[in-house]
Amino acid sequence: MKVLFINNDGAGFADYVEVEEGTTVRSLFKKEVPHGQPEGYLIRVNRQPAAADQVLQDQDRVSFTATKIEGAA
Amino acid sequence: MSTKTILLRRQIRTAVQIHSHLAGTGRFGPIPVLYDHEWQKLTNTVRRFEFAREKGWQAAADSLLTQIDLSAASLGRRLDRFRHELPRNPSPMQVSGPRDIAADLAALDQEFVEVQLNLQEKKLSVLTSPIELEDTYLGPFRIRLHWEEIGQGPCYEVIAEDPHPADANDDVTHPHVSGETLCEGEGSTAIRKAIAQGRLLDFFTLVKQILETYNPDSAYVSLSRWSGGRDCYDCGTSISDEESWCCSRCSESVCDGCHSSCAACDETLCGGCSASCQDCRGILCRGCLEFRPGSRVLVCNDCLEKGEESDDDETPASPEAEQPHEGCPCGAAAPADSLRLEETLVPA
Repeated sequence: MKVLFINNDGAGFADYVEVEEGTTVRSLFKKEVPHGQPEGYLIRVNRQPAAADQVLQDQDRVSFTATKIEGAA
Repeated sequence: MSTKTILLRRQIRTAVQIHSHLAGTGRFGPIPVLYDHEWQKLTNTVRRFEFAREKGWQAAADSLLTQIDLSAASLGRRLDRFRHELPRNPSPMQVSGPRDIAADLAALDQEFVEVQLNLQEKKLSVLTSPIELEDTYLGPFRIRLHWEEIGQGPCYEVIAEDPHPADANDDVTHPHVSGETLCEGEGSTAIRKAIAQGRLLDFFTLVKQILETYNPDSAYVSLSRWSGGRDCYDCGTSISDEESWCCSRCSESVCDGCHSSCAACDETLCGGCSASCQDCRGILCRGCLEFRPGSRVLVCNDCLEKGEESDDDETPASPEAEQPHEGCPCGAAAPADSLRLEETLVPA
């Protein structure tokens, strides 16, 4: 199945990715942000805060946005 | 018609307008400036080369040919840069559809304190909760997007609703906001991409997260100086008023790590106004150091007296004391402050 995966870290990424049936938010996060800690991100499924064990559905919109993003001067 | 229905309709109309802009002219950023003086320079040189060749001026033609080669290479590099700076053209697939944009608009209501849609002025704004960074209250901020400006340059502003600007600069309402412009730092690319693709919830969320993050290494005004703090005169570290020490001699502010106290008079000193006794190595102000008579060795009063006692016993107090006496024949020590580098003691 496909989900719209949005990673707002760094250069930003937004595209449909193929995931296996039964994929949870936690496993997608581990796969896509291997060096990140979930508590450092706003994780949303279909624009709503999501639990780590939420199972993804086909065509879901999943976004990861870092809670700390450093501005500059 | 219920308020909810009216709001929903407004959201849909806004979403359609934004999508239409993004899928149309909004896809295109401004074209970089193409200067033609390099092209003119090249064609002029070619003309001069043809003239020299017709005249049979071999040396001039050789020189002009080299110039043509250089000018052509320079023009080529400029055209490459021009191509590189051309606005990218995202495919229609990359731009969110009106349905997704409308869903983002609805989600903004849950994410922010207030959402305002202005269809006539083509503005969409959200209001954040009050922001406080490291115990400094900055108040709520309004993030206002001008959707018709997307692709034309800066298209949003960040306005302090209850401004608590830095004492040093009224324009700076947040460590990373100056004159209603946010310096996006590491969020820059993600923000640009979110705007270009019409992912409005992501755009506003990214801006909010930057506003809620403090980067002390790159701020318009650091939070430690927000309410009248300053930079350490010696090391440049930002220090608050409570953390700063004022040098008694030059009145500059220094941090805890850079300040010292004169061992003799206990005055607070910055690095530039302190010196050490060359005998005991104690830190003193320059006013409490004196030249050992007949030498250029700066010592404290205690060491000076010890040295004099030793001199009476004909025992040198330090290696410097063994140096042949020179300078003031009367033996009076000049105060340290009265001498500068490159100056010498002049006999009275």
